[in-house]
Amino acid sequence: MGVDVRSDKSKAVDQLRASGARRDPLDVAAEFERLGRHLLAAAVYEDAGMPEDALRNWREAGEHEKALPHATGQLQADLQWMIRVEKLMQRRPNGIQDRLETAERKRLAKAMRVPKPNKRLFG
Amino acid sequence: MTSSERFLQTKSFRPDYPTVGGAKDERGADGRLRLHETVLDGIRDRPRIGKRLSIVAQQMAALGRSTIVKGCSDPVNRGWRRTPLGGHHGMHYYLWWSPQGTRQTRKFKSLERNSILVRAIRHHDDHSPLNVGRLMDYYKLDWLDIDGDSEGCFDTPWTDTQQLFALEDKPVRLVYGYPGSGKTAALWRAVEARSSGRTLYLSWSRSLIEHARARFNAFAPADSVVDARDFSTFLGELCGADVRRQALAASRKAFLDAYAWWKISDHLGPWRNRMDALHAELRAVLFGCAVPGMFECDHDDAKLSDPAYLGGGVSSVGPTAGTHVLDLVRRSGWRGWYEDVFPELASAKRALALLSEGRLPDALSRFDRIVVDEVQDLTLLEAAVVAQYCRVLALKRNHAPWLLLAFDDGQTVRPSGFHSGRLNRLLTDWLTAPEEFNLEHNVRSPGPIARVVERASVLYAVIRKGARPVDQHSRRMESEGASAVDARLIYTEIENKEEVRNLLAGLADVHDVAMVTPEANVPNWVPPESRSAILTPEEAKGLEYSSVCVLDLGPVLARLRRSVDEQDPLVIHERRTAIDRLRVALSRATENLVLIDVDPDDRSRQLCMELLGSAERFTSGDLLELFEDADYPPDERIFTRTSDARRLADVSLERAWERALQALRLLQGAGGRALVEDESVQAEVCLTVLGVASLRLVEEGTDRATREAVVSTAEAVTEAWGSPDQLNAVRELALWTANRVRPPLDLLQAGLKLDKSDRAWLDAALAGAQQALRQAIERCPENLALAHRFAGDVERMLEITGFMGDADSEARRLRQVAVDTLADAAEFTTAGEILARVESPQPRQLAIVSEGLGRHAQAARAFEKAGMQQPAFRNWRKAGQFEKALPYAKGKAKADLQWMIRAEKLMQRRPDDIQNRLTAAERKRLEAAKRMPARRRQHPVPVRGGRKGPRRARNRHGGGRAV
Repeated sequence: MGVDVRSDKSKAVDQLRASGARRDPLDVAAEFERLGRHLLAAAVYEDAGMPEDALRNWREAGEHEKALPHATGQLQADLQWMIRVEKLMQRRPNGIQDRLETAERKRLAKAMRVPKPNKRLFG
Repeated sequence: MTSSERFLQTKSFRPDYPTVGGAKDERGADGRLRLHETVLDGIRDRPRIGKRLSIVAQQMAALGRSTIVKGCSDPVNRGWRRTPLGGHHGMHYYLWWSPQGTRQTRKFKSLERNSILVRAIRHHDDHSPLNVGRLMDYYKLDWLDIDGDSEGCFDTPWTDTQQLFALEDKPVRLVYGYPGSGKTAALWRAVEARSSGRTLYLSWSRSLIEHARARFNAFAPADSVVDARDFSTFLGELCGADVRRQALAASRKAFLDAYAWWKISDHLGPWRNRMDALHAELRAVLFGCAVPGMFECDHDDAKLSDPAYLGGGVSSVGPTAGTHVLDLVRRSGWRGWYEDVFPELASAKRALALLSEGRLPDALSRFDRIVVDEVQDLTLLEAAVVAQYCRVLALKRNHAPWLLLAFDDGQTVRPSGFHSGRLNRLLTDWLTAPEEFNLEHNVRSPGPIARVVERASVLYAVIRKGARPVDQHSRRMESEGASAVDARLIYTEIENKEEVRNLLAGLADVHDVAMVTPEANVPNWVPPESRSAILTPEEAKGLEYSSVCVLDLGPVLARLRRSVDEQDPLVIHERRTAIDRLRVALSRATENLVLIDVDPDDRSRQLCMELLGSAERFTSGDLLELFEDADYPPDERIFTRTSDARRLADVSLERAWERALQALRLLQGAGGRALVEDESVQAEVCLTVLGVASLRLVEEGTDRATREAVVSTAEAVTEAWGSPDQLNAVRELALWTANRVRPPLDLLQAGLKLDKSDRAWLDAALAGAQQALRQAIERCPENLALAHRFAGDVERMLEITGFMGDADSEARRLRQVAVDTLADAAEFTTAGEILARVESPQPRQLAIVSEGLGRHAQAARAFEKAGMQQPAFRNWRKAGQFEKALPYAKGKAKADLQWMIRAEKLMQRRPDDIQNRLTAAERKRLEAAKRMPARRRQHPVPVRGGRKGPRRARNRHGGGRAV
């Protein structure tokens, strides 16, 4: 995502230290996660050798590629697929949008459509 | 002649085996007649009437009536029809019958349209009230019951010779015989005895063709096709252009008009005062015998060469008269008037030339059997067209068609120069030697009248053998059919002009009495007010009347006797024609034959009495009393006139129109309300008026006032007794005939709304314009304003134009042209409607129309089928079918499609339920990745060389339509 996580992380840690409280990095990561700073949180967790937490935060940050090394099973398959979709879209022929017929555009749009998540009845 | 032609002539004929007693197929006559059980008892009790009854039953099953019909004048029995059946010593028995729709039959609601109840055979004096009885007492007859075979109810109506002719297997057969000897019936029998073939039945006479159509509709095997055409239509079909129908009188008039223009009366020589004979000689011989291959011809084979005419034994007028003919023709610049005076010969010449080049329309190339009736009306040139047609058919089909011909060369009232020896030579040289059959039995004329005709035939004996008809003097007369019917022979003398005037005026008003002159034209002594009531032999040929008055026969007989010693070939030629006319005039009567002699001398009186044998002598007063005494009901009077009108239409439409109007007046009465309530009579009058009116509209160049009168009468009659559809058809016919540039589609569609049986009048009238109609139809699908009409019933439209070929194929071709026209104008909706009626449409057309209608997948498939890759590619893409478009794609389009296919496949491999596992950010990123950039706005770029794709669909009125 083009974010210098490490430099951000240092700054954040520095800020947290400067606040006068010497903290545990895990607390910092938890604080980052609570603040919605998932990239920082994921980096800290990763440094701390906590891959599950790192994976969760990489995903919350939408970082498929970074999340992938920590994923297994179904999640790994999801991430791999999303990466392939992204790559394919990036390799889209230049100017294709101007050449598509209406029916092609419709079919493509229909094919690309991912269903919305099921509504949870509880929680 | 090539060796293959020679081979085919001799080897390619197949025996004409009949399917005698064939399968019990269904035929049109089935169920039309219902026979009351008492009639069968009547047949058993009176065996001598069986043959006549059989003939009458066949006529009724085919035509809906017998040729002679009488009504019942008493109020109790009104509605019954009566047909004489003959019997012992006089006209003893009548068949009583009634068609559906009369007073007797109206109560039977379940009785089918056109059915006939045959109720009883009664003695002629028996006029006691006859009850129709119950419908369940009638047996429904099928064709086998009445066709004369052993298993039927009736005796066979066929004579042995007729049967022999019909069932013979020789491929070319000629039948000839007396008037009333049953030649036509023999031809019909020959056609009906064979199944699963295609027969072309030809005759110059339209009324005979109309009759033959009705007959074949009733009796031809269901698996056979019989196409009955008048000769003009046949020639028109061969030439691809309508033949102008010109009655003989009109041809003579055109000839006289041309003659007046030439101003060469000083060169007439022996032809002075013989202009009709000169016209006949030109028609029958100089032009009518111009058959290349038989005689030397010149001037593009249009006429005989001078040596062939003078020295070839073709003409019988002798060298002096012959030389004058050639001189007159040369001086008159014949090319300037030939087509105008003899349009039918000009067409025959064209047809023969086309056939000689092997050119034959597809429609005429599918017949197995050619049948020609009344061959004596054909010139040698016209007969040669038939023979050449058979030769070309043989070459095209590798076997020759069977050819059956009937003639009576003693009835050549039409100047055809018919000569049986010449016909024989033509057939032998061009096809194969014909088998000849002589019908010696008279099945129509009562014995006494037949004997008078026989005595008239003796007059031929004084003519040298080559110039007289075949075997006319030695015919045996046998009692057959109607000859068992008795008849009266009457001789009447008139002494002064006043008496003539009164008698002719009186007879003109009498029912079923015809006045016939034995001369070519109505004599000058006939007062003007009676001239239209007199028939010439040419007009009377083919007609039958209860009573016939032959006018002023004495001088004709005296002239025929007087010239016995003369050797002038022209005189002999005239005499032969005069005897022919005489025989035709005498043989029209079915009950009473009257000779009316005007101011006769002893010689004339003696000759008339010799001819009649024993005759009753009546004064003019007696005669009027005899006929006026006859109490004929209106329906019988009407039927006689409608029957006359139909037959006279062949020779004089004006005469036919007079008769039709007479029938109309009888039907209307004085008050304008129908005097006759019988619906079948009303329909008969309506159809007759329509028939003659439509012929006048199509064939005559009448002035505006006459035309308007004809149209308004036809409209009034149709409004009163016809149907709204018939009225519409009349109006459309009037519009089209007034302006023939107008497309005929409205007229044809009006015709389509009529049942085939109700449309016969229109079909007959349009027969003279068939080629013009078809050429007009040909142009219509190219016209954007008319192309949409081809979504209708084109096949039946073609049927109305007399199309003889494969109507389905032709309709398909016309619809394809219409579809192209509409597609070019982007009227795809209508084009699609037409295309939906085309079985297995052309892929190209289907593709274009489908694309126009936005059905791109269908269009793409059709384009593929048509081998059109680029449009197929375009349509697969427009249909959103990436995979199918890919094989045709190149360059960027190929890359685009490949990418889309991959994208779709990848999306299809999406992990199950991934949507429930995605985080919000992942979803957001995925959506962002999938998002296609907006399409850049495109500016239209002019395309050189026209549009690439189809235009937007429009409706017929040019408006836009959402596809």
